[in-house]
Amino acid sequence: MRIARSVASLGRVDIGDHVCWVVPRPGDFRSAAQGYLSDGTQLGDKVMVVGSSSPAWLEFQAPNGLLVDPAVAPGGVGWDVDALVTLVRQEAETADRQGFRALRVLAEMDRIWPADITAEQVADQELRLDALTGGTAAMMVCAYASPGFAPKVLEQAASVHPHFAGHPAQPPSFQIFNESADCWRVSGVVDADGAGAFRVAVTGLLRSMATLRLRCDGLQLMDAVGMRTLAEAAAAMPGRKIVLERANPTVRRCWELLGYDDPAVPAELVP
Amino acid sequence: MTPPRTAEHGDATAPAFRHELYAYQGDSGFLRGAVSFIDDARAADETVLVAVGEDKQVMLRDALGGSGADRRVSFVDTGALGRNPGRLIPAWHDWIAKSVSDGLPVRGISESPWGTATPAERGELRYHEWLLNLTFAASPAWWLLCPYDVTTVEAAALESARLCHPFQLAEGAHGRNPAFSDEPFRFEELTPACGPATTLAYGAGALSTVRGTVTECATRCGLRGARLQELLVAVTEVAANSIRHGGGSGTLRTWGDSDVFVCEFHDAGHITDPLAGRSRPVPGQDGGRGLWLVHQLCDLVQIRSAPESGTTVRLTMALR
Repeated sequence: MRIARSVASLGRVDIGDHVCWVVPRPGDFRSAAQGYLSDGTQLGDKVMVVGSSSPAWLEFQAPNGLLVDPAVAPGGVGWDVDALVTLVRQEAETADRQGFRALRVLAEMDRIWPADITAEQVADQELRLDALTGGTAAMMVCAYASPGFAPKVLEQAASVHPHFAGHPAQPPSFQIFNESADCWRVSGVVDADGAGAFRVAVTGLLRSMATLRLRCDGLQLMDAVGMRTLAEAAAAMPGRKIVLERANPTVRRCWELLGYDDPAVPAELVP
Repeated sequence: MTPPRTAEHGDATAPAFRHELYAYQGDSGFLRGAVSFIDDARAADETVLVAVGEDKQVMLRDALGGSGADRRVSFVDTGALGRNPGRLIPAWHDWIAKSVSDGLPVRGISESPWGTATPAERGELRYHEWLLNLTFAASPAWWLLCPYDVTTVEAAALESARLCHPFQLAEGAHGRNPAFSDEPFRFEELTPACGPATTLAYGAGALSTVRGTVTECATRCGLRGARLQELLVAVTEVAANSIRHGGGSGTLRTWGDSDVFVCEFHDAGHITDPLAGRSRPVPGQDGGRGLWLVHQLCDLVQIRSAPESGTTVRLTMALR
């Protein structure tokens, strides 16, 4: 079972982890990233850097590593939005065939995505990557340069990874991440401050499944805005439904008090 | 006793909602007025909802014979609503809606727990009585009798009751209440903090900080578990209202003693609807959920709001 957590350093990243690393200063990036990649070579992982063609990554080249620079890869900076998901999937399969323990990915997101990327696009891509890393022998650190992305994009990115690194940056108030093929987990607190990112994430997931199962074991609190967001997101897509599982008694009580335990609401709390 | 005269009931000039004060003395006085009110209702094929304390329920059931309850008379458990008077209006709405849907005209008897309420609760009970006229002005016609035992209810509560009931049952007769005054409600000042207060200024993005402060202070006072979780939802709602509607920021003060833990929020906003938070939301509506939730989760909610002084929302949780 995957559990949301904040990691103090990239040294504890393991198979199945999908880390949002908010890099506060460029100087913090190189040594931490090199340490993460070096751990991989020692442990028998195939290392893949998706980022700049920097000399810093020379030691992680073939045969045990792979450097893909989107700026010079086919398609250039205007990389197709699905390219990263496709690349990670292919390389994870390749690494498995080649006998590596796992695929260890470092992705420099400012090198991958256009500067005007939206929160919706970030959520869509990262949630698909999360389903991938959660279900294969892969681990992935997505490095977001703090000055390089809008705060709204950073907030969105952090909320759709199960793991967070980036002291002194604040961890996200909630996290949505993959549990299994048809089930996702939500943890933390969903309140008015995070409702926008929550709506984007839930809406993104609903586009690809008729019934979104959300396991709520780790959900500490959801306020009225969060509950309204869930009900409205489901209602906005006729034929789609959200099922909340294992919510705590306070969430359940508030859900009922607000009248959402109405069969007409396409979001439902179950034990 | 002589059945009360009801000449004014059905008067074309009378409001649809008949809110009637019954000032009585002792148990016999209560029974005299309540039983005659119920007998009249039965004779007119009307239904009666009785919301009184457990002791009065027992007394009334004995006087009515059998269990006291039948197709026309229902006893409602106000204890299940908790102590917060802010939950009474939606409960009456629910009860009346059910009776109206059964096709029966409705009467009610409601006696508030003046004897056991704290001073702060009594203040909110008085406000609840005043709000009833506003709440049910456009509702289906119904008749609510509010008994007040003059031998136990404090003078201020009785005086307030005389001002906000347009009708009265006095000396066996139902009629207009000459003391009724359709004036704005006069709130009492909120009492000072009962202990040293912790203060926090909050603004956008600070809901987590608000919860952190409340958790720390509440835990120190002994509030834990589900009750603390419910308070955290309530404080989130109030602080979010400040940020969204109250000028973008506010100030939180918390304090407690051995009996209660209190969170008080102040911001520059003005709540114009005196009934805010006192109607049950429906899933499709815009807004109006936060204060509703707060009223349902906290033991007492006191709101003071004016354009010139801003809004203060005080939430109280009992510790025992």
